[in-house]
Amino acid sequence: MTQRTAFASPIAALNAAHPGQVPRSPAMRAGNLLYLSSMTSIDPQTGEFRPGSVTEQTRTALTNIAAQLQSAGTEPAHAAKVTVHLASILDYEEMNVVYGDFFTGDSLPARTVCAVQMAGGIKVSIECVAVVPSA
Amino acid sequence: MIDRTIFPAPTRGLDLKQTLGLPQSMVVRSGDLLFLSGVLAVHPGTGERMHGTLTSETHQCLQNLSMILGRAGSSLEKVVRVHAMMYSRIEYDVFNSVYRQYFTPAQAPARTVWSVGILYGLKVQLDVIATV
Repeated sequence: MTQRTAFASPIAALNAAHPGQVPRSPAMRAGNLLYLSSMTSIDPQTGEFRPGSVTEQTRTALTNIAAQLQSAGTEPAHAAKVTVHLASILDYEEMNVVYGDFFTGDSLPARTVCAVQMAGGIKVSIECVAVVPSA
Repeated sequence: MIDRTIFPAPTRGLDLKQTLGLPQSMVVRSGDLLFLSGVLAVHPGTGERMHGTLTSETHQCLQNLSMILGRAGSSLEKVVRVHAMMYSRIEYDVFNSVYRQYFTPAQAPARTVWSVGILYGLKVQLDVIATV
């Protein structure tokens, strides 16, 4: 039987115990795959949305994803699939520069990019599925 | 040990890392699952973007998808889930009329259709998970 295990966020404000938090797990593991809830430009200290350019928002979101992956026993190099949602498809190039600095090498994750409507000044929202190494 | 392998694109034109500079692998496998990068209507030989009608782009996407899956030891019959992205919800019926030519209803994968913005002004993108 496949185990299903929820993981907390290293960002305290994103965890269920925090007032106002939405009913979602920051990360959920099933078998050797770890599914992350989508991540935006959240200040890891305060848990508040950090507005900024596409560059800044992408960098913050990816940094948070790295911390989430590490706290759940894996790392960005093991990402299998990344889905990037942009508020505008015109922001693709700007997002891509930061993305390309973050994911490097020959073993890149698969990726899909699309533009959707997002609330509250969010310009980038990133979702990730990663493989968890076995002992 | 990490159960994760990369499959290359089946043709030069479908290697979007080479042709369009997208920092991504076409297919990543873990366990029995294949995670694909978004499939776009590009020419499988040259990588040229095949802007067209929703009908022509959907055909091109599904043919490209079939080739990509074949290179990774899978096929359209083994697709688990499709996020079908299109530029306008208005063309939903048009999309279906093409899509049903590739998937038989009783065996069709799970599917969600979204109306989104797509790179390069293309009209269709398929985001796929398949089994090996």
